[in-house]
Amino acid sequence: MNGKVFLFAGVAILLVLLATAGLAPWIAPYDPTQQNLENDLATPSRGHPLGTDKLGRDMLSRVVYGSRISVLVGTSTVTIAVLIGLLVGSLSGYFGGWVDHLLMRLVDILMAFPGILLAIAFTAVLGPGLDHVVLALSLLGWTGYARLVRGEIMALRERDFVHAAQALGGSPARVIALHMLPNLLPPLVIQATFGMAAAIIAEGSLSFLGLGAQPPTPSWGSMLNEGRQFILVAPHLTAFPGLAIMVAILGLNLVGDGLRDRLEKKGQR
Amino acid sequence: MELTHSSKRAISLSKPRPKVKLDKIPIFAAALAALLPGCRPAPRVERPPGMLVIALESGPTRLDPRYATDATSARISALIFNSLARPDENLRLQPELAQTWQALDDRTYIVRVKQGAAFHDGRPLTAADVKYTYDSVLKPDSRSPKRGALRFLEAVDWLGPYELRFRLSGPFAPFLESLTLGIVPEGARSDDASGEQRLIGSGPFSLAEYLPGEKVVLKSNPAYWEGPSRLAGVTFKVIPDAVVRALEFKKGTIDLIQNDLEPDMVPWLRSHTDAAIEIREGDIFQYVGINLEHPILKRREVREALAYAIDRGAIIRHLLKGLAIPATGLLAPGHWAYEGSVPQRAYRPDEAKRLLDRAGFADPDGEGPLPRFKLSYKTTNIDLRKRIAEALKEQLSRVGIDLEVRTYEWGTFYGDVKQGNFQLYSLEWVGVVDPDIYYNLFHSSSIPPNGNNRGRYRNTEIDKLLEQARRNSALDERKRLYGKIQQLLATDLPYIPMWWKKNVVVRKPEVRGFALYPDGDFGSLKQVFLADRPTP
Repeated sequence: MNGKVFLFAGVAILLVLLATAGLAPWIAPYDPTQQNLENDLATPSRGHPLGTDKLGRDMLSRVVYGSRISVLVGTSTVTIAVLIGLLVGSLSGYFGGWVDHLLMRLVDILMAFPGILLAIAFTAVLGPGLDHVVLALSLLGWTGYARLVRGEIMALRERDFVHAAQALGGSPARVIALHMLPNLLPPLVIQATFGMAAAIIAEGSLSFLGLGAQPPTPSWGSMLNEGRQFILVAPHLTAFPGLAIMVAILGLNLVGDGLRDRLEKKGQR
Repeated sequence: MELTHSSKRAISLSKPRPKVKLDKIPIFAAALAALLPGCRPAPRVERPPGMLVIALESGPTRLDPRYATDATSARISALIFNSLARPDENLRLQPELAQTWQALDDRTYIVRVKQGAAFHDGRPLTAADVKYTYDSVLKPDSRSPKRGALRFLEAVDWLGPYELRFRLSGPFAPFLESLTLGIVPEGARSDDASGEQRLIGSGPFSLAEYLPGEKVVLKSNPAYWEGPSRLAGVTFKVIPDAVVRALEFKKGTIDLIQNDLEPDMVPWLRSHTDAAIEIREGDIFQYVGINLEHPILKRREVREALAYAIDRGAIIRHLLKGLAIPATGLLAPGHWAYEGSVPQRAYRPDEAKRLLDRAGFADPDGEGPLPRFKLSYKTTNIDLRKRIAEALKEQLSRVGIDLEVRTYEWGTFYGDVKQGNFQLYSLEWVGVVDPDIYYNLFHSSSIPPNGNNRGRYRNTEIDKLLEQARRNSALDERKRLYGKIQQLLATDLPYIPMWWKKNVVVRKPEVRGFALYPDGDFGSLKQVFLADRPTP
């Protein structure tokens, strides 16, 4: 019962997040990059419900547009990472042997690096920018999915229906795609939800460090960084983007937890 | 002297943590691990009584006066070392170690050194130390960055224990500025930075501890020849983050902050602490440098249009909170050679558009999104600089110029600027004493690596005036020549003048005797003392 409430709350938050990102131009009252130096650091008011930043830009519009960056980075990173993870994991799990050895050692090597440091190094070399952030995060984030998929495939490989499909002459690609994939989707979806939360936070961290979204593009992480200097005189500059990140991550985690409870229970039956 | 910035920042992030299995999501686990070092508390500074603690945004790089070129290094080095002459609060050179100087002719000067000055180890300072200092900068294998500025100096001859002869290769009016080089003891090595911990000078303070990037501790020199300081010493504590600096001041661990403040923090400090705050007009000159070999920027109309399109007033009022004055040129009004009647360009976007149209850069779609052309602007990744860059981008977009802002950490940025690898950049000049700096900045022979004419400005008339002014030692005539130069530069705009920064000092009320120098020098520290705290 409780689980359902949380899952529902999580889904509601995600829907709001997606709607905000999709409808940003219609929701935001102002252009998020429109400056007005005369009205800097204004506290929340009727005209600017979340106040303005140091350059007089409307904070509400910036937070609204910032959701686009988070959703974009979160989904694209996870999509790329899941695709790579699926490919590597299923090759490794299905064929085993030296293929498995080779691929899993590659995964071990990648996992041995502290991910965000590698991402920082990556963006520092490629140059700051959102595209590079997505590239760095997805090229480093697929290892978890590969391990998960490999484990599931190895378990499925011994199941009767797989043996049956193989006996009927199904090619490895066909067996994996049609017979195994549907069975490993639930854990993958759960992990992807958490992965998206992690990607949004990582993007926030990189943007906070100035390696992600470049000004004047509003990203929650870079807004936190810009507001940091004014935390004593204008705390609303950091409070609102911080709150936005918190709510978005909370939503994703509630959905992930809720799905896990439901799907894994089903799996046990 | 140019301002340096440290790009190092203390990072402490506190973000909501998702409930995830860490072993499954390596990025997040690593993210946490990466952020933990940023949470380390700032190193504690011990405070013996009478010790003054000053916060700095970035620390010095070299304290040896032969190598200290950036502003912070030069300011701290000048407390440890004396020089023959030193600029006073009005940037006029006053004798320090020199008793007198006297020109025999236009290329020979006799300098008499004061008797009674001694190094921190008790050894008397004599003409031999002075000669050694200059020789070690001038010798062919010297790597001192000050060697170039002393190129005109042919030799320094020892005439007696307290008498020297400076021989120049030709008449050189700004010669006296070269007397500001800090004097090191004879035999002091210069080739390695590791000797920085054991520097010995003759100044009011001696070096007690130097932890690069963290702090510099100076002890009062009890035997100082001008009389010892009333302080026990001075600690310069490096705190890169502006908010932390302000909070430490509030907590009482910092006694004084000069200039290293976010403009918006000044009113906050005024209302939340018992700080005594003083603001005085200064001569730190901020400008936009231009690459004059760029096909668009080499057109004067374009440079003029840029100057008209920048609303310096709005930036000063809001981003700088009034802590600057719109500049007409490099020299500030307090300078003896300042020329006030030069062409000035207040904010007039319509005039900017007209000039751009006339130069043949019509806006392809009028008020629409397409720009007339695109320019890149380089600046450092200091927050205030980034904010100014964003404001400039917005202001230039109003006249149809697309400004691409690129921010770099200081080292990369400064490297690009020195090599001339830029279209537009912004930087500042600090502590201009002799107007001969114009020679270094705008003479066609000063194009890097021979000088700092980084925009590759070439103007034969300016060249001729600069050569004349440097040969002429009559002050009136030099003032006239430099006035002409300032007018020409304000017309031609190889730099777009932005503003002169005001100097701000925030100090505890019991810190007395601190004087703001126009260039932000710490020269007054030798007179500073701590009064008894008034009982409330």
